[in-house]
Amino acid sequence: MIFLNAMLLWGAAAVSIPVLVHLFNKHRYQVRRWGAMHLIEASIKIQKRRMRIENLLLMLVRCLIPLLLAMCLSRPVITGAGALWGNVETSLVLLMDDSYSLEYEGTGGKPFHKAREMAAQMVKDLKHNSDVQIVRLSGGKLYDGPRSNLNRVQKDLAEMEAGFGKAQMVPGFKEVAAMHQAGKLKNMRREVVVLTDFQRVSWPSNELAALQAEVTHLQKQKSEMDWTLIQVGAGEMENLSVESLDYPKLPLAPQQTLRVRATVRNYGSKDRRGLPVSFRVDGKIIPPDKQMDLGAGQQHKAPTEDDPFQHVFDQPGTHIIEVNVDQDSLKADNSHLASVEVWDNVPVLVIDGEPSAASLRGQTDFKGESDFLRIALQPFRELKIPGEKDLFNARIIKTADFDAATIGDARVVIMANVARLDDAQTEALKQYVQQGGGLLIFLGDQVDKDWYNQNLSQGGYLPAPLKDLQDRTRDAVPFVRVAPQASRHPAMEIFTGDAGITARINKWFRLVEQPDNPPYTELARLEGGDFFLVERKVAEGRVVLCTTTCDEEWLQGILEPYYVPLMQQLVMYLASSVSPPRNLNLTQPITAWFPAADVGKEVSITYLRADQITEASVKLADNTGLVEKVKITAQGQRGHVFFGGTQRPGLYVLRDAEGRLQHYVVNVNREESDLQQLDEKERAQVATALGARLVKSVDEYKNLDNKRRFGQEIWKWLLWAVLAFTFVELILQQWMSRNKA
Amino acid sequence: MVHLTDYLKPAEFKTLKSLELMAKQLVEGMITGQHRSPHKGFSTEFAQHREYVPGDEIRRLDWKVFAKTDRYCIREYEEETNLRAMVLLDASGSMSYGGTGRLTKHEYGIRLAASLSYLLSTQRDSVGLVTFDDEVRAFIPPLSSTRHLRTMLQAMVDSTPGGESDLAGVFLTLVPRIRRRGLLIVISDCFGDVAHITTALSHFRSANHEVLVFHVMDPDEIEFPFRDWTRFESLEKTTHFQLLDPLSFRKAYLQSYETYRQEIVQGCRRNKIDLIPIRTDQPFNEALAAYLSRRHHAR
Repeated sequence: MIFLNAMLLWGAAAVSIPVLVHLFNKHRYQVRRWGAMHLIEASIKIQKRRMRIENLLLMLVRCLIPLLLAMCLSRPVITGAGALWGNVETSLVLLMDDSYSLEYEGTGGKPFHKAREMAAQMVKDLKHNSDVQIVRLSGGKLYDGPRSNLNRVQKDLAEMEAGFGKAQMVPGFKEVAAMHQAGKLKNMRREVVVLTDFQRVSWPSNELAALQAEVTHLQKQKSEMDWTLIQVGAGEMENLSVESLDYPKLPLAPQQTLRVRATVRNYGSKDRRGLPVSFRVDGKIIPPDKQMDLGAGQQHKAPTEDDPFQHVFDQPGTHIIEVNVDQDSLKADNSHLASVEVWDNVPVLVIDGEPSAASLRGQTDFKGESDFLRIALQPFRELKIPGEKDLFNARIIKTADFDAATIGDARVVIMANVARLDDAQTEALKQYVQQGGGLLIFLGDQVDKDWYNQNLSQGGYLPAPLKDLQDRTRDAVPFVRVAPQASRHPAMEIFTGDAGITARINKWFRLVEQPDNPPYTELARLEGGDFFLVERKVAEGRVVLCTTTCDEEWLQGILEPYYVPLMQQLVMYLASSVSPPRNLNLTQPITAWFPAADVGKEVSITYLRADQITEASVKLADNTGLVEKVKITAQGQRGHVFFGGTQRPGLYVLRDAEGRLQHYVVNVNREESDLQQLDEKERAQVATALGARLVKSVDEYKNLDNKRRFGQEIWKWLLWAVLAFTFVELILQQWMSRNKA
Repeated sequence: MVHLTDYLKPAEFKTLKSLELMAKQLVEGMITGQHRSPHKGFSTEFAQHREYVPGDEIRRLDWKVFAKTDRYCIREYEEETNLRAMVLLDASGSMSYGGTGRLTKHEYGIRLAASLSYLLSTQRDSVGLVTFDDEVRAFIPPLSSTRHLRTMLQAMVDSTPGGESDLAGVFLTLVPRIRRRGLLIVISDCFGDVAHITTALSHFRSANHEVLVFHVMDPDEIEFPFRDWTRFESLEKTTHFQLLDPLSFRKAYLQSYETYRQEIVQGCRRNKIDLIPIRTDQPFNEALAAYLSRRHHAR
């Protein structure tokens, strides 16, 4: 037995009051000289034994009243012999492992369905007025606070689905602790039931101490919680997983060939020969399927590098690609999705700090600062190649013409050797970047270093302050090269290995470096260590700084093969990266930008599981999927959509008021694909460490529950006992008085 | 010098004079007075005339005196009054009990004894007195004179209650000492072994004495009205006491008292002894008058 208000137990000292009153009375007697002693002695003979019993009984009752009252006020809780008390109100916390490993379609059905049924049965067996909270081990809880509407809880359980990411035990346990600390578990009987498949990745040995610490902490707080671990799932091992996709991360142009390969892993113990690997685009299978051999525990890319999945998009927009290896019972990881953007036009504004008259007229005389850049961005147009269409559409202006209006719909603004901007131009540029625009800065001999440092460096519009100008023109080797790239930066990934940047730079600006926690990201360095390309994110936009020129004034080898791809990659990177990401991790929110005029309008977001993706469903032509409505809110000068409900992997299709579609893909970490479970001994160790009971079925749980000691507040019973004893005392007193009379 | 008026209030005197004590039994001697003698035919010597008082027999009027003086007179003879009464006054320790604001039983008994003695004296009966506790303390043989009455009263006053009571023992010792039959008036709380007491009294009855027991009790002893814890200390044995909660014991006490009372009543009835229960809160002359009235009617 424990007491919730143990201090009030001191009130039990009042039990001495009747005794003291008795002793006080006995010692505070009158003395009477008496003659009829023989009558008293005769009555004593008759009465003494009975009176002693009666007085003892009355004394006992009188002592019991303050004792029981003190116990009543101290709120005693019976923690033993619980089975005697029967069913009582319970605060039940269900920790549901809803990771996708429980979606395994085994012979006995999906483990999660079994877990769901077990949980529902447990809820059904609870006494009226009990309450339940359901914590998803993939993250989050079902209700803000425990629910006492048990029928509703059972319905919610029936609608629960697995297929989420890795089960996180520690956050789940912390959630229980938080609920206890917040006093949300109001019933004295508190049960925590973990329904899990005991997957090894979810129960790593290095986390056991943290789990134990949470339970110990709760025990120290006298939470009086009973922990039960229920194993669901039969320990299936065979599983194939498409771990990741290799595809270009930057948007594509129409008619540009998409090349895709997938990393496939065999988590099982059997070798797989002639494994079919299929490729789908927008839900449509793109033949032919490829085949691969995969040994037990092995991981390979498929198809071969020489024969990747390929596809050419005709139309701009977002497209869904998928590689599928549907050869096992766990469907959740059999395919990997990606959203690919296809653009047919990327408007670019180039502010030429040293333009030629011809270049301003759209002609090329190679005297303007941006002539080479323009050719690199729109080679088909400049070289007048018929039938080909450039992705980029560059517009060249001189510095004086730049203002907010000239930016227009440009996705990227390029400053090419611009000396300085006036205040209004500077403000317009900053606004543009803040609202998600991309800025590419090339330096040169016109650049006013001080102006750049004073006006752009502050606020990060210059990734790092300019330090000084380096000049190699008079050196024996009058240039430096760009250091070989090992970067996996999206803008630079095509320049790794032999396909390096072969530029030779004779003049460049050095930057003021910040060794600790730099706010910028380096894309490329020069040999010798100075920066070549560096970027910085500013608000919603992004700025890339090249420390030299974009023409051959400081940059030699401009006609070499690196130049065109480098310029296009940089511009494409800036244009695409400032767009909200379309390939998301689990729980990463969906964001989308809209014109300010759309603020207040609603968009719909439709969720499709991987197995629901078809040609029709991708276009939302059928009613497949779960639909949610989201309002466009104002943010800055634009409309903004934010959707945080990406707890499940799959495809999320956003449809705006005009019916335009944007596709977002949510993928999960494949850790859960390794279906290895803790063996029986390890499970027992976990249970012992957590002070929990380990069961396999609801019946076993019920038996355990009946045997387990649980607490019940008995103050109400004690209060009734006090009232009863008070009544008994009254009756006894009257009865004895009548006897006396 | 103790005077009778110290113990008898004027109102009590007046009431006493209106009553007369009539012996139920004949005593030895001649029928010369109001008491009928079992020995008829003996002549007695004229002693004096006295004024007629209501209650005197008409036949005893001296019509000659009436003719001469026009006054009603009664002729009295020397041997007319021959009732011998002995008052046995209990002076044991238990008689010293008296409830708050009341006389002790002993004080009450003295007043009762004085009243009776006076009454008997006014009827020219001879009265004697015995005071006792566990033994006889004073023994005054019966005589009929005012001086003797005063001697008796003095002896009553001198008797301080104390010591243990042994009524049966005392009565047995008195049987041979009171040879001439007469009226024995016992004034006592009768505490002790009731069977022994009534047995002892039966010896008086065997000696042809008329026995009259005034059973004097304090109301406290009858009702046991105490509430608080009380240490009851014996009035007879100073080392003897009982500490108890009177409330708890009241019922049992009352049971014991009733048993004891019934034993006395039965014992007296069995031996043809008149028993008069008296409470010390009741005016003793009223009780006495009631008894005398009863005896008068019984005759």
